Formats: sequence, structure tokens, C-alpha cells
Amino acid sequence: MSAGALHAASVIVFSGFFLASFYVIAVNQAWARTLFIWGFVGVLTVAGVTGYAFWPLFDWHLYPHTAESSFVFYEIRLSDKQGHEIPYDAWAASPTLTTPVRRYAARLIAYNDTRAEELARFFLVQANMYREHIQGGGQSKYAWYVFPPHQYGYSWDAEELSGIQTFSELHVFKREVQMSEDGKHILVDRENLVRTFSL
Amino acid sequence: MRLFINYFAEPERFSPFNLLVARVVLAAYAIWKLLSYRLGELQHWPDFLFEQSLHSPFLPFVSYREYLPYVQWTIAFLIILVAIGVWRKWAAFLAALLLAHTIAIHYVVTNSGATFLPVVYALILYAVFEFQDPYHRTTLADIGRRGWTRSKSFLQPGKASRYRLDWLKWMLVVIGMTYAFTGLSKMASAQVNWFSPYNLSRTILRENIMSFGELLPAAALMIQSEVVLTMSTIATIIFEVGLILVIILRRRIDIFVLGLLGMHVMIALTMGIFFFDQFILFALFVPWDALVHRFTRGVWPTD
Repeated sequence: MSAGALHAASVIVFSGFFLASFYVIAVNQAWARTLFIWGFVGVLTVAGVTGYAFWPLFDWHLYPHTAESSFVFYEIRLSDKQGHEIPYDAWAASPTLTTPVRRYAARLIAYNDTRAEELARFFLVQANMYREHIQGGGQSKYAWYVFPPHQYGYSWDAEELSGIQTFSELHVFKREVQMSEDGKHILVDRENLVRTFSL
Repeated sequence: MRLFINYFAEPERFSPFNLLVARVVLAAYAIWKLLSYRLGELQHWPDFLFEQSLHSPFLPFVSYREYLPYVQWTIAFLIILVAIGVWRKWAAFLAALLLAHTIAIHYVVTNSGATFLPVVYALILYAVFEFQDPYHRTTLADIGRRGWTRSKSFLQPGKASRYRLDWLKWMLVVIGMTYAFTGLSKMASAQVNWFSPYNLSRTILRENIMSFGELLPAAALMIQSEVVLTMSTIATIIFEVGLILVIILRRRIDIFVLGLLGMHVMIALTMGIFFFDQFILFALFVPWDALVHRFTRGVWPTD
């Protein structure tokens, strides 16, 4: 489907879902409720079976593929003027998580220069704000009153950031990892610096 | 005694009390989760990400996202109205609509926003079956005045001897369906290969390397045992696909719900991915009425 068709479908599904709900709630009749429930179960089934899930529907295909023994991923690391380099803490680019930040690392390679630089600048500015926040004794993402995040991962604390100055460069690394077939050991773990952005 | 009620098998109870508990638990959970997200930060993300997203039609003006924290607080306010029973039907509908809108935009920067969708469904289904909930604002105020120990109206606020709880019935079906799709999609794309113990150990090792750079203690332990890995993959598919089956076959759901919650604990410990939401969503199906009855030694009426 083209982008236009996808946009149209997403507007139609979203409006249709809430207009139908509005109607059923307003008329408050048994036949309307029955129709609505079976319609709802029906569209959830279509979304789940076909994978064409337009908001607010979702396909819930989680980890459907088998894991290959070799994989490639991109990661973002930051460095200050003194050359201290540390991995990116996804919480700096709130409200997102570790896996999406990895996908953005791949996009920093795929995008044209204007977009890649705008995105890299965003990650750097956010990282510097969050660095100051943590170095100033601020709470990390695991504060007790915050709803448990969907994904835990590498994160900064004051100790990790000690001695680190303003981040001035963002490095995108390509990691090529080869596991043993039984998934118990790492056989090869190669990393290459593929792109550098400066603030 | 059962730990979780299969409302598809028995949508009627001697009391509608579980509707009140479910409504308050859902509201507290939704508000806590919603206000934990820093949606105000979305305005700092580059505009082009929103422009090129499938969800761009949800933003009235793509570069203007400063209004989202106001929507966030409005949703929280509407959900409080649902909990205390003021204008609850339309408050639930409006909260669902605004929440679906807000997380559609949040989804642009992380797909974990989809964990909000069961809340949207719960609010819509509550509004649809709101007429079955006899705990109006006035009932609650009355209980507050007289004290709940002397008031029969907590477990039986109306004169009926049976109450229907279709809200929880259909919410259970929706949750069962989401698990079924997670299980069936694994079968559809990977077939029997998904059951290989090494598929799981490779997945665990890969996720640990990517998210932590090292192996979590539980992960290091788990990938050593083929028996544990094989049992885990088989149990995952049985519980994910089986839940909807036991629901619609009107059987007991306890073992399947506990199995799925165990699976979520294992995923959190071995991969750092935590579906805490599911622990609260399944709490909606606990027989709260029977628990209250037991712990008050039958002061409150029952069947």
C-alpha cells in the first residue's frame, strides 16, 4: 500500500472505531452492544491474523521469528572532548526505550545528511541535559514512583558519569555478532565506527 | 476457591462488587502509567519523524506537540471521574479517545506505547456496559456516610440477587485474544523451529548483548539448560494460545493465568523486558467479592 492509502486507512479505522463506540454508548441498546462486541472481536481478529493493524488496533505479533546465530545491529555512543566514550542511555531521549534507540542508530546511517544531523543533534542535546541531571544528583528512570519501564537496559548513574564532560560527539557503531549455534557463547563480536556527528 | 474468574463462563455474580474494584484498580493503574510518561519531551524530537510516520494524521499540526501534556492531565482527570463515578460513561469514552490519540503520537518514538491499548479497550468496554454498574456517585457517598461495615450496599448496592459483569467478560476475551495472536504468530512464521531450545537461548543471548552488553545472571543460568529452554518454549506456546481456548470453552483459567504471569517474570529476569501491565490487568479478574466475604467472616451477604 502507498503512504497515502495507509494514511487514509488509519484515519478511517480510528474514526470508525470511535464513532461506532460513541453510537453504541449513546443508544445503549442490547442489539447495538451485541453488534459492537462481535465487530470488535472481528476487527481484532483481522488485525491479528493479517498483521494489517491500524490504530487503535494492534497485531500483537511478539517475537514471531526465530533468532539466527549471527546478527547485526547499530548502537550509539557518546564522547566528550577528552575522548571518554560511553554508550547511550535511552532514558536521555525520553520517552523511548533501548530497542527503539538502536533502531534510530540504524536510521542515522540510512537517512540523508540533513535528517541524520538533525536527529544526531537531538540525541546529543538530550544526552547533555540528562547527563547534567544525573550528575546533579537527579533521579534515574528507575525511581520508585515511576511506572516500571517496559524495557530495562544499560543506564547511567552518577558513578558511571564521573569525570565526563559535555558530550561533543556522537558515534554510530556497527556491531556484527556471531553466536554458537546453541546460543551459549559469543564467537565473534566485531565493531566498526561507521559514522561520527559533532555538536 | 478460584484465583481468577472466567467471566466468559460465569458473567453473573451475587454481587457487582468486582466492577467497583476493577474500575478503581484500572483507574489507579492507568493514571500511574500515563503520568510516568514524559510526553512533554515529544516536542523536542525532530519534526520529520512525525511527518513521515503512519501516525502523522493524528497530529493536527505536525510540528506542534506542546499540547500533549495538557491532554495527559485531562485524561488523568477524566479517569478520576470514572473511578469516583461522576459522569463516568462519557468520561470513560472521552478518556479512551484522548488516550488513543496521545499514544498514537507517542508510538512514533517507541512501539512500547502499544501496552496502553488494553487500557483504551477497557475504558471503551466499561462505557458500553456502564449501565450494569450500580455503584453510582450517590451509592458511594451513602456508603461513606454510614460506614461500610454497617452498609449492605457495598456488596449488594441494589435489590437484584444476580448481577451481570459483561465488562469483565469481554475484557477477558480481549486479553485472551492478544495472547493468542502472540502465540499463533510464532507458529505461523517459525513453525516447529520456534520450539528449538537454541532458538530461545539465541534470543536471550542476543537481547542481553544488545540491551546490557553482558548476560543478566538469570539469563546466564537459563541458557545452560536445554531442558529448561525446551520446557519454556513449549509452555510459552501452550499458555499463550491456550488461554483463549479455556476462556471460550468455559474452563478454569487459573493455571493459564499463573503460567503467563510466570512467563512474564522469566522474560523480565532473562531479557529485561517487563510487561508489568499484565499483572494489574489480570488482577481485574480476581474474585474480590468472595475475598471480602471471607475476610469479614460473612458479615456481608453472599449466595
